[in-house]
Amino acid sequence: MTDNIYQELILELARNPLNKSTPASFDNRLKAENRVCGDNLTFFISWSKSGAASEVAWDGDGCALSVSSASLFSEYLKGKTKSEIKKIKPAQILKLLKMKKLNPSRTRCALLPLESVQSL
Amino acid sequence: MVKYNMKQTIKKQFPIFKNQPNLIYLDNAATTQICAPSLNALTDYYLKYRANVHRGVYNIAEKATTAFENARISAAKFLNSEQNEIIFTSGSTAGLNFLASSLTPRLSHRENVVITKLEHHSNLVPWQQAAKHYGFELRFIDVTSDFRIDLESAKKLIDQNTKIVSFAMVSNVLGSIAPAREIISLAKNVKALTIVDAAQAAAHLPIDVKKLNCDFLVLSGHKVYGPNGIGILYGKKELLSESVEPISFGGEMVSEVTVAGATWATVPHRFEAGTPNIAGAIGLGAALEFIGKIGWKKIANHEKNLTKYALQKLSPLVKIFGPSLPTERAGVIAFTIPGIHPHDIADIINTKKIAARAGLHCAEPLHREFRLPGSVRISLGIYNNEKDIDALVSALKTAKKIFKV
Repeated sequence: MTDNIYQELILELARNPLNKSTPASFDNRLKAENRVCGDNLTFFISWSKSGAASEVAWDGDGCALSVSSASLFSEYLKGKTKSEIKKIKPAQILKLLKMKKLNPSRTRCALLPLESVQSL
Repeated sequence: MVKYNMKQTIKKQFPIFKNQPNLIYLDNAATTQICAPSLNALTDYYLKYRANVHRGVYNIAEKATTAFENARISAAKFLNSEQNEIIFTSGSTAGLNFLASSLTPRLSHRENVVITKLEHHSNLVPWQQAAKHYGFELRFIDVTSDFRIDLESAKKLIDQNTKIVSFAMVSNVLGSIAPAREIISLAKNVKALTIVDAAQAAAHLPIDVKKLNCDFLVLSGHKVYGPNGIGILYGKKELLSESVEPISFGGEMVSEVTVAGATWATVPHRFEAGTPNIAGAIGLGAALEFIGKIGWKKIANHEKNLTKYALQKLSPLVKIFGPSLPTERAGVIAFTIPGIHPHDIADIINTKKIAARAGLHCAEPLHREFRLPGSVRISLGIYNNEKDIDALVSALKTAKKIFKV
């Protein structure tokens, strides 16, 4: 069985996403798109002198799942270095979303934020 | 002869509903379910007389050839064309790609091809690619704010340098029915070739290529209650014989072959290189006969009434993209609910066994034109009924409750 997606956590973040903005300045701009449903996400990351992500924001259009995933992921990235970010596995995203299993098409939505930072 | 009742007996002709009794299938614009006569014809060929066509003299080869050519006759009857004007393809996309590749190499940078802004990618990208190769201009007829093809725009864009006009008879997103005869007559005035993409129309509106007076027309088997991987390209006999060159070569399509070269077989076989999709063609022929047996009057009435019912029931709940009058549209209805992403809507209604599509529906430029990130689309078929719409309405209400909108 796959998880019920529409739990309170997801619905709340879909209504009130975290870190959703296009900042005036940033070091990296990272895009990901899902052409099937038209979703697009852009992550903006600024780095501190020590090499950790100091500011993380994202912007774009997406379903409740990709928006809440982007919200939680942006929080999770804060304080992490580039090499730490590159090592993040899909399972971590599901953990952030408090989910165990999703069907393939929704997995794509949940992992869209992770896809965007692959180009880092 | 079987008399099909649209409300009761028709659904029994679709084996999928025996295996999926609770399925509410509202994605007929993507693919329709296969009807029993088509499935039976297809399996009969595989089980009883599988052989190649136009080659063997033995009994089952003769039988296969006859069945394959009978399917061509069924297709010709369906479109009111001649038998040798029907070419079997793998689907509408293949037909459009063939035309874009075959008709454009002689076009110059001064000449243009006209399509519309609501085309499916299959009637857009082949022309874009050909334009890149040969340098002709690609023009786009506007869509009005009330989701119709803008004939004024067509009048401005189709000029003396227009060589081809290609358009969808029914939009796969908006459901709008194109003013086909008007567009074709504008094209004829400047001696441009006309291509009708009937993929979305063929199962829902009667098509008469003689009345339409189009030069070419394409359709897909899997959208007319037939099998996958088969389609039809109709072309006017004189054009197929004199103006169109084959672009795929091999067996079946040749007349005489020497080490120095080859001559082509007669039309339509010169456009069917290699072993064709024999089972697919036979299955498609049976599906077209099935539609013919039900009769257009019944189909059109049923779908028009159901579309009207769906528009009435959905209007208070959702924002519909497409003509509001059921007379100007087919049963394809795209919509959004402000505050819920289309993908979430499709996912929630899926929990009630309702199959609908969310996304860009292979028509990205159209979504850009109306500044939509995506939409949900339902599309009706002959087996749908008012109960299906009621179930959809109830599921959409659930979605709105979950999202508190």
